[in-house]
Amino acid sequence: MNMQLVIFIGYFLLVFIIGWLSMRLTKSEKDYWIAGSKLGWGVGGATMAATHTSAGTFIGTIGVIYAVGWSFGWVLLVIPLAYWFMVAVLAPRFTKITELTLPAFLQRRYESKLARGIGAVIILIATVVYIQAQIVAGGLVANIVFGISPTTGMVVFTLILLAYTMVGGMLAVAYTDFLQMIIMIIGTLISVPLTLSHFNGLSDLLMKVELIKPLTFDWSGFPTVLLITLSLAFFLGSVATPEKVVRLYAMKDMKAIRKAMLLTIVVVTGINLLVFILGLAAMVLFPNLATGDLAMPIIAKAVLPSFIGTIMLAAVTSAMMSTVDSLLLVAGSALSEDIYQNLVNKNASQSRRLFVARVGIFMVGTLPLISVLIGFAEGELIQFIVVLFTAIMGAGFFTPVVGGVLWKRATKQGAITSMIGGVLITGLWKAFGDPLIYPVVPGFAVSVLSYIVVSYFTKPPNESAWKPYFEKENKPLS
Amino acid sequence: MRWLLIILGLIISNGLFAQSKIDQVAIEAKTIDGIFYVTEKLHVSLMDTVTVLNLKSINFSGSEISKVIVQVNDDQRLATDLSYELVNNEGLYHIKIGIPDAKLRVIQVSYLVTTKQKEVYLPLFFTDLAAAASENDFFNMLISYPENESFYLHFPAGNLVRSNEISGYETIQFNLPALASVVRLERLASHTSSPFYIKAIDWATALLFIAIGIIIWFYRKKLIYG
Repeated sequence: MNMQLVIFIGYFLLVFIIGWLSMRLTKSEKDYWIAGSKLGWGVGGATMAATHTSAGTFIGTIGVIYAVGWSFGWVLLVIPLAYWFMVAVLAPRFTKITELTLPAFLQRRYESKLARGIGAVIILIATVVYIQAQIVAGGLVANIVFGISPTTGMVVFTLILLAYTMVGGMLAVAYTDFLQMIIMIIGTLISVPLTLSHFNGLSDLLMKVELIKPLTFDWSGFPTVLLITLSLAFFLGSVATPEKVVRLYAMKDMKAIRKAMLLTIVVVTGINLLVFILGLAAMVLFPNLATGDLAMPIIAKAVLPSFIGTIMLAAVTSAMMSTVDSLLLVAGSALSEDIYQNLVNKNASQSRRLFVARVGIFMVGTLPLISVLIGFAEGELIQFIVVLFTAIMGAGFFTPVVGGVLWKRATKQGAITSMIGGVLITGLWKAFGDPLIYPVVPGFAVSVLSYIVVSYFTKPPNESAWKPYFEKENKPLS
Repeated sequence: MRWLLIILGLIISNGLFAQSKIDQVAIEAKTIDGIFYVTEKLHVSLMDTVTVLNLKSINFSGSEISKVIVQVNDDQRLATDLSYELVNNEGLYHIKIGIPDAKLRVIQVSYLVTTKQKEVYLPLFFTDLAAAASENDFFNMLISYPENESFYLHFPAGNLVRSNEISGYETIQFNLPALASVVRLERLASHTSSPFYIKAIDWATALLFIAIGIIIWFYRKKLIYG
């Protein structure tokens, strides 16, 4: 217990130091929101991979595999595909003009402040949902590691996150993401063989899993329709969620983006394959968990030697923090740049906007904590809270963002209708629809249909709206 | 109509099993002349509609379970009063307990584990029920062995308390928030705190992180700005 506390405290001290140093390097808004567009492929790829690999991976994916078996693995296959799509289709045109936020792209591409404002509101709503999942996971880890109540763990976790994100901005987020990715990779690489050492190899583990839960290896453990629709949610969300897309602006050029995405694909795919094995091992070693989401924390606590186990828990905590800090930043920028400056006070000074951003980060960070404490999503597996967030973002943003760089005829009315329709239908289907069809499907369908139909029935956009993205030569405007 | 059936099915299955839980598990294991005597107590909360309870144990390498006795509640009623069947099915021990009229609160399973290897795997029995909570003292275990022997506990790892309060015996005690399916011990030739390779792995990991930190510091500008 003492060593665990020392390691955790040491890790968090390091994170605060990075946050403080980053604050000193942050000279402008551009530094704060997109690290000055100066990141190379190493940190750029690390921050992308770390943002993707959250509690949804280390706790959520393992939790779902523990609960239903390996049929969920099908869903993970779309992730490399999504990142390929991002770099091959989206990035080349999307990054022709550097913006500070994704809603800012919507404003420029569709020449509409309203589109930007709506995008910001969607981000705020979805972010609150997603951060809830991470906070719940943080509470579980604290419960297992330190024996403190999950509630206390959630509060402490939230406070630490808010502190370094509010202080350092994207520079702090990117550098801590790099640190966290190193820990995640090493932690996972060491954990898997150590876990397998309790068995006579992988085949022995698989045989024992088959003995106690034969349905684990049945591909019908998940209904096929649900698998396909969940895969779609992951794909859309991996391509077009703001906290990932804005990282394209943070990297210095397309060459850095390509290398960074390759690094991301390798790291994310590798980690997902390894955590698969950890999920199966948890099934055999701890067959009666209160919830599948406890599988990873209990493995780190009870399966691995003390130092590595604590490092692995630090890695899991890192994964959660690296995702939440990105989301907090995106939410802060949505409030400051896309709502406050765009719609309330056009002449707001830089210092005022940064102040509003920090207030926004604080509010968006505490709202999820409050809603979890009052019982929202109680009993739901973390992975499904994460997927809901992905579905909202995917249904809301994929069409106007990808469509905006592929289709010149797209209009602002089409974009606005697409965003509102996509998110609304996703939410309504989640509440009232067929649970075998994941909400992203009807949401995405409505989003695409309304985008196309409304665009055709409204006045074509000015050339100034689409031309910068479709010109052959790269003319960065910042 | 389809939705009504699905909802009814959920309600029925939830009524049967969602509220049946394991509240706590306590295990004592004592070794005498190379044989482990294991007593496992599972405190459960079962719905009235539950008529059969399944206990399972996985056969890890080289360990044999024998002489299983099942007692219920605290009245020392032996398994002969209950319908009870032990099946050893290619690596999985399976006990089916028929539930009588009285509600079960405590199930005590006693058995022997024989193993001749240096690596000792003690299989533990578990059920299909989920744990009621994840408190640190949900699962308690006490392992006793003669003081002239030495064991290292590989799994579960974590916070252990070693003592020699019982005359002639040393004990290892630990608590966990979840029931393990096995305990893995290693007989040591002498009284050492842990095998050398465990410490080596910990130190190697620490050195690896230090080395990476040094490399990152020297190449920080290239890494950050490409």
